[in-house]
Amino acid sequence: MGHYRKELKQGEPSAATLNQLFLSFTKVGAVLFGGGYAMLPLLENEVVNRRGWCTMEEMTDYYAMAQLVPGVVAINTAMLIGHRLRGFWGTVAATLGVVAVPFFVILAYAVAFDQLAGNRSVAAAMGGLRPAVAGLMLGVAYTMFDRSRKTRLGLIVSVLVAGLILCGCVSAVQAILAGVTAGVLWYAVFAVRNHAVSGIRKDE
Amino acid sequence: MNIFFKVAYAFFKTGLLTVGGGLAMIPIIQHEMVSRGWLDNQQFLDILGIAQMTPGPMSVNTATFVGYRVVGETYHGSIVIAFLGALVGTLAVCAPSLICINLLGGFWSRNRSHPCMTRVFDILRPLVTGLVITAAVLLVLNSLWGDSFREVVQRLPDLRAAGIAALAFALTAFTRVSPVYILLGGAAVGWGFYLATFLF
Repeated sequence: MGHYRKELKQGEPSAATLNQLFLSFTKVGAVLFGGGYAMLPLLENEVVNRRGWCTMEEMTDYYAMAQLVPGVVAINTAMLIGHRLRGFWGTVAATLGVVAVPFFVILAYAVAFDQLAGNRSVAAAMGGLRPAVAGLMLGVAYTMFDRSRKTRLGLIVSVLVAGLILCGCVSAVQAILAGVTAGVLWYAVFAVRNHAVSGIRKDE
Repeated sequence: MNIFFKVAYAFFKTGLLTVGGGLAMIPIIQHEMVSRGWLDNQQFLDILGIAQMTPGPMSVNTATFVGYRVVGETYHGSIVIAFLGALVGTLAVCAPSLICINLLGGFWSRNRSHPCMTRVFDILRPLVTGLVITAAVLLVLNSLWGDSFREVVQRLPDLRAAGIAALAFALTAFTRVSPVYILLGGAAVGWGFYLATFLF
């Protein structure tokens, strides 16, 4: 994973019609097992590699933004991408796509609850699906870590965050808020230092 | 009619409160459903189980399911009206995102290259990597050893699940095989193991 089929300059989405948005996100929603985190590999495959609508770096930025904004993370991510490509109607098309298949699957479940829930074939298939999701996520984590560890900051932050959350010291939300605060403070220090330096130069 | 507004409000609130996603959503949804008497604790656990078995984000699936059930109970015997309940619930849980993203989207595109933004994202990018690592590790532990992590040291992992996970990992990390095929393949293998029990 991580090889681009189309060379893409950052910030230049290739044209996307609403239909294409809807179809791509329907494909993503149809196999979105395992919640918001599992969306990332599916999005990379469909949006970055197949469609070339954004780079992987932009995708992880959208994903990060989606955690900060109120609302369901998977829906936020879909909407951010849709908005980037086609504005308001892009958000609508992307969202309808993501929920389309799950909506009808859940309806089928609600209607035929007892038959489906106890079905052993279904349970067996799910028994194979869950480790597949786990392996998939591990693969994505591996690829992402490979990218992050190239800078010292990236290496420290990714290992630190993973460690803190796994040992239960910090929640994901706290980590994100701390990260944003750290970023803003870092900028503030940088800006103040620059201002101070140029202030000294003026006095000379 | 009243029940539709209740469903819409409940799920709009749910959608609004799910900041950060993932496991953090679970207690919020549980509270909203149980405090209204729409689900008892056992039914909520059942829904968590269903959410594992169906595609889609958990909050949205819960909204669809509970919307159907709650409206269906008020309007006995009308599947069409219950279907509308599912629809209302689903749209309501997506509505906060719709509002926030459309308000913030433009701001973000215009300010993306601002030095403050770049600093923040320089930190957020590896942070998300850390989150994904965490999620992956927990998923692997859960699917191979089950829910009692204390047994990780004492028990052997489920070997068939370990094999599937290892294959999925290798395919994802080192090849360009689409995750769709990997997931469907996993389900097929799982079903295959089940069928094999009839042969031996």
